[in-house]
Amino acid sequence: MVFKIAMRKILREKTWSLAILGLLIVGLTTWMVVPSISASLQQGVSSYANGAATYIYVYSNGYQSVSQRIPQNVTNEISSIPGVKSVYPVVENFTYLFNQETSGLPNGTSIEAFKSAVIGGEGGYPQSLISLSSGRLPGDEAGFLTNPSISDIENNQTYLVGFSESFFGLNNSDQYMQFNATAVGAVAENPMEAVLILWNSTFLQQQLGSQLYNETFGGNAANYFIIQVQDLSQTGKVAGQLQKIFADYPQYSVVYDQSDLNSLQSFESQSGVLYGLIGAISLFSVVSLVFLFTYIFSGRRKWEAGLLVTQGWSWNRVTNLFLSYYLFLGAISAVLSTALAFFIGSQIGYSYQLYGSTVVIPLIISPYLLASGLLIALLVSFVAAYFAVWNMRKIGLDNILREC
Amino acid sequence: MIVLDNVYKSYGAIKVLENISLSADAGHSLCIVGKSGCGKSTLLKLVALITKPDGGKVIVDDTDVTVLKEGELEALRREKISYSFQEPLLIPYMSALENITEVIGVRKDSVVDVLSKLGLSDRINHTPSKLSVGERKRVDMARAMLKGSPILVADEPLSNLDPATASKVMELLARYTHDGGTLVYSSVEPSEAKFADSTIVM
Repeated sequence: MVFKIAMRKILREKTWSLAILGLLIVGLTTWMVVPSISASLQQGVSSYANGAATYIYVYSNGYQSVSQRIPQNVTNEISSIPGVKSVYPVVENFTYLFNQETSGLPNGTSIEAFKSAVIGGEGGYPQSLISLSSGRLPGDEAGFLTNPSISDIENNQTYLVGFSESFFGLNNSDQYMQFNATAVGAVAENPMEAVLILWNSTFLQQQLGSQLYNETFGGNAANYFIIQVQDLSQTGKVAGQLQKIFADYPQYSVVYDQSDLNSLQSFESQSGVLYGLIGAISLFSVVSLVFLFTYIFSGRRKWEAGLLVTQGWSWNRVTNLFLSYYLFLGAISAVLSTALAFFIGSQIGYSYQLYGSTVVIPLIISPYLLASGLLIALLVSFVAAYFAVWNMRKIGLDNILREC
Repeated sequence: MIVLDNVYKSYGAIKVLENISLSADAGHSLCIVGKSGCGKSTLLKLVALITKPDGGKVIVDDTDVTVLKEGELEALRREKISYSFQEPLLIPYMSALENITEVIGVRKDSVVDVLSKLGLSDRINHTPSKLSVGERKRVDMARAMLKGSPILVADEPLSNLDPATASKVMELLARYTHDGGTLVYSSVEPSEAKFADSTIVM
């Protein structure tokens, strides 16, 4: 009977019912969406930070072709460092070919400033490499594309001009990385007019033979490492461990961006306050809403409750009537708020460019937020019902009836 | 049976009731007559257990209600008292019929019967906003009578009623006392006291 009366009140007093419903929906949606925006931003910053500053690079300082290669047991040792997520050992066989006439450099000279440099040119050392590069240099009909895709390179479809570290990192493989391109990359560097070529180790071995390949490039073990750590806080510690390991290989450097790491860590720690503040503001808004809601609606037409009590209703039964009324509206508002929050979430996803890719961060409406939204709807309903009756009992039956 | 013994009641500095005593037995009707503002409604609210006196005793069937807690008062109100307001109070989102069946929990057919006797057969599904003051008064009275409590308290039950309808209402109230109920009602018209077994003039 009580629920039936409550339904009648909701359906026949549409203006008030919709007003209550609207207020609840605004409050609950705010509660679900605002912290979601905060969570999305937090995840975006975190993913950027982890993407940018959780990679450590180990590369040789000097002429790579004769650099000491790193044996497999070192790779295993790196993998066992606490905090290491992945290790990417790389065979990096690339050469600079200089035009002897314009550079003025004698054949066979290595230049430390140019990593992995091999001085070449017509008649230079090693002639085999010069021969291999024929037909693959700028100006040739084959040409060099400036932005080939990874799959193109792996499928021998094109050549890469230039070279970047992200090229390795994007393969997402723990496997020993060997590129399938026959020759990867060439660029003229004025005024030296050098040409950089990244060679495929398998191809080189086939073309040069094992002996010449080993003499030229120092073997087939890794000479370049990309190490991914689990999170920002691990980067410095892992780098320290790597420096100890590579102390035995002085021609290798352990590199990570300390300033970038520091700034990101600082940002993450500082932004925690911001996220907390956003959550606190949301909570404050909802709590304010609860009080506003109960204050406004519990003060309306108290005499109705007074009338029921004079006709023999207990205050508990009046409370049940109010509870049915507010709980029903609370349940509807929770459902509608959830739908509205998801709709808003689908409209305001955040996207940004990272390493040439578009990263989309959708609004994160967590199950926790949904559950808390439902709990708040319940809380509002209970507080509204109990506060209303408590207030009326405090005023007294006689005084309630005087207000009509 | 209801007894008020030497009761006092004030609202702030205003003394509304002072040293009032009355009694009404089962099957007995009592009319309280007086001008507007003399305290009739306050006296009826004491009888209907809506408010408590500042002094004196209110006894309902040998129980002193002035010492009862709210829960006990609720139970006594539910079992012993029917109350009709001076200004008719009806729940605005319920029809005339629902204002009786759902508020006091009685069967629809008995309600329709009483409302028909009071000339409201074509108004039973109307909400209060579509009823005149007199019609609302009759619905309010019907609700009090149909509750079936042993004590019926009616605050100016004949106000806003035409003579014919007032006569029907008094006929129903007379049947109520004849069946053993205790009726306490008020009026500003001394002539309306003629329906009562006893009268108190304030």
